[in-house]
Amino acid sequence: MDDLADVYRSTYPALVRFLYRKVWDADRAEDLAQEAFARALAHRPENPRGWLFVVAANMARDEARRAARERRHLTLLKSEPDQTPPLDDTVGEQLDRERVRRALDELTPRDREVLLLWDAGQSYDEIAAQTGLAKGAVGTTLARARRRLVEAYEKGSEAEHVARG
Amino acid sequence: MSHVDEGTLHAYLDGELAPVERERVDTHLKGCPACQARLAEERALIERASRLLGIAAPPERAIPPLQQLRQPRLTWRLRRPVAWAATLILAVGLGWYARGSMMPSLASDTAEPVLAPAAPPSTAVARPGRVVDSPAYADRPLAHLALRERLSDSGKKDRDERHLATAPAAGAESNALQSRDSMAVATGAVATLGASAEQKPEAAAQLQRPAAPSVAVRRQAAAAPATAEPQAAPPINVDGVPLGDAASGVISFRTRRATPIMSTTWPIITRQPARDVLGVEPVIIPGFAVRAYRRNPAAREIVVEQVTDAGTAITLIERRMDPSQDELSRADSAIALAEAPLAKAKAVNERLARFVGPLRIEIDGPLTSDSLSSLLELAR
Repeated sequence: MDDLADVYRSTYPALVRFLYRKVWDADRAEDLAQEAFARALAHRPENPRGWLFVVAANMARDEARRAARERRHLTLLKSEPDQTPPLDDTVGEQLDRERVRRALDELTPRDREVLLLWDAGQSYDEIAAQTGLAKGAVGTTLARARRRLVEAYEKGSEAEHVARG
Repeated sequence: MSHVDEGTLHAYLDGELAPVERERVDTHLKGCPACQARLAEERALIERASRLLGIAAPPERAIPPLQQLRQPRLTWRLRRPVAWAATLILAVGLGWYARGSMMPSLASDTAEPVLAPAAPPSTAVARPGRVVDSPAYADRPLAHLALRERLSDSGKKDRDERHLATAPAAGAESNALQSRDSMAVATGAVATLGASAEQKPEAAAQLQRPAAPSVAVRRQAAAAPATAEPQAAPPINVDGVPLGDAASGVISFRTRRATPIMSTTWPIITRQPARDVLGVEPVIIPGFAVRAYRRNPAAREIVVEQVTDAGTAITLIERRMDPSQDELSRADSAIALAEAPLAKAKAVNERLARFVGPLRIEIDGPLTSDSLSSLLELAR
């Protein structure tokens, strides 16, 4: 219990961060993170940290599928509205976030996963365990993911400038 | 040694190289300006990438106490059957409002909720006089709105039997139709939204007058036979498939994880037929586009689907009133609206539960509090 409480304190924000880049909704990310911990409390995994990220990744994937289904449904009904951004953001922040989000979308799923796991504080060992990559391949994957992220972001920004004239 | 490859440079900069390897890289770098330059480039790249990711980081919020996780959570399971987060369900029992002075006692019950401990499934489903209310999301901008209301159509029992089944604030979303049907078994006159088959018993937390023995969600008639009113209960049909025998009160719940709200499969009709089904003008929340009217093929019931600008769907489930009670309940609903104790309701608001007139509404999800307020205003 105490172990898990420690893991909770140290890992919860990281898990939310990880999930946020997948569901793009802060509340939902927290919901899912809490759900993951609730499951951990029931399962008592040996390696709670790694376990939590695996569970979180699975939940986010299911979530994305459901969201896609829902989008299809809405599209059929021709009434898909835009996402409302959080109120406390400036327009500029929203734009930037949207650009990053699109840039992340351009990565391959594996590159993106590795990058997000690293950014959420997972070590190369943990990333390797979760993704099935050899530990030696994590650095290479990260290098590629970072480069593509930056390139995609800059390309997106340029395109916007061009579009604006 | 040969030049250091890109992956190794990143691992080096990430501090993930084993000491031996690290030393080798250090040695090489000392004598290789090209690799030093590349190292600087990769370092800049890493910084740039993390800055970008930092832009796309969630807002920092306090970590909720772990304690909360031990409270029963129904959010996840209840949400599964429905499209995630963006679904806002507001089930309105058209005309089945509280009788007159009902509201004050309801509200006072609600204002002092009891945190029920996690209870074994068999006992928790139908516990009168209890409110299980999770504080987990109390500080959250909300969005999922679930409302359950149940009101008996049997006149003498109206006040005692009326109760609001409230899901913990966290878990509003649920399989509306299913629970509505289960409620229908209990009373035959229902508007509700609630528990799915896989719902934890805590999810069925009810707000109920202590004297009321009735049950919101019931799996077997045996659970509370006294409250079943078979004569009022039509056969339970979901999409035309009988789920159970209403008269005996036995419902066989089907698990439908993958299916969104059942009502979305009901045939679409236009407003006039909807009006004919209900006998009155369908209730819509003004200001939002009506996406569709749908008719329950198995009952005199329609659903009005509306969309807000937030990508949120509002589902209003409306049933035909019993004509004999029509005038009465409408008059009563007016009284109840007038008498709804707003001050007390405010206290409940802290838990994301709100009263709109006699309707208790619980909310959770990505609706800003602003739009929620306006929504509630409109619902009023």
